[in-house]
Amino acid sequence: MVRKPICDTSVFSDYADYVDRIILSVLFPTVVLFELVATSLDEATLQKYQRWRVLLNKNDCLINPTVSDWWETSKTIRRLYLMQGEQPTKIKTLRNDALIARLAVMHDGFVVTHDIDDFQIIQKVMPNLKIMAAQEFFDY
Amino acid sequence: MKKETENSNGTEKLPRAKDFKLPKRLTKDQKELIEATREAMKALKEEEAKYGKKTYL
Repeated sequence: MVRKPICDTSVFSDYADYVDRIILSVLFPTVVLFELVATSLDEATLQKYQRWRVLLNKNDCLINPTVSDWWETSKTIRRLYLMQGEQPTKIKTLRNDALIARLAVMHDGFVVTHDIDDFQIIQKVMPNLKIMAAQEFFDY
Repeated sequence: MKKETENSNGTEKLPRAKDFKLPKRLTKDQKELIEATREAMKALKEEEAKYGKKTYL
């Protein structure tokens, strides 16, 4: 089975012109939609995201963390704190990324991101996580 | 040839965007999703042009 990509939130603006071509093949975490909506400013943009959300849901593209995903991800973050390999301020920024990573592992996907270093930190405590740089994924 | 990022995925070869093709026949819902995706991405780009690059959580 071919692994499906999960695009990290920051990938969308840089590869906005390519997203529609792969949208039927990607796994789309609600965490990513949350970040896009939470950082939108104009009412017109929110309306477009609202329509997009309905259609993503209708086409079964959205993946949502389960109770177990939240639990396991919180333990992932806890392990990073206990390892003391990264600054606590850095680990704090990885919470949503860890949830995206967990969804990628649970759905046999891989994360496409600009922030390879961040996901490699998560990979230390989530060894089954697969990652690819956005440039490598889109430009090859 | 572009330089590959350091591979931390073992030996597994992962697919690229070009490996994913749209189906030849699309359902009405799929067509609407593709159109809604274009609109959402256009709005995102317009916001970034207007307000600057976004910082995500």
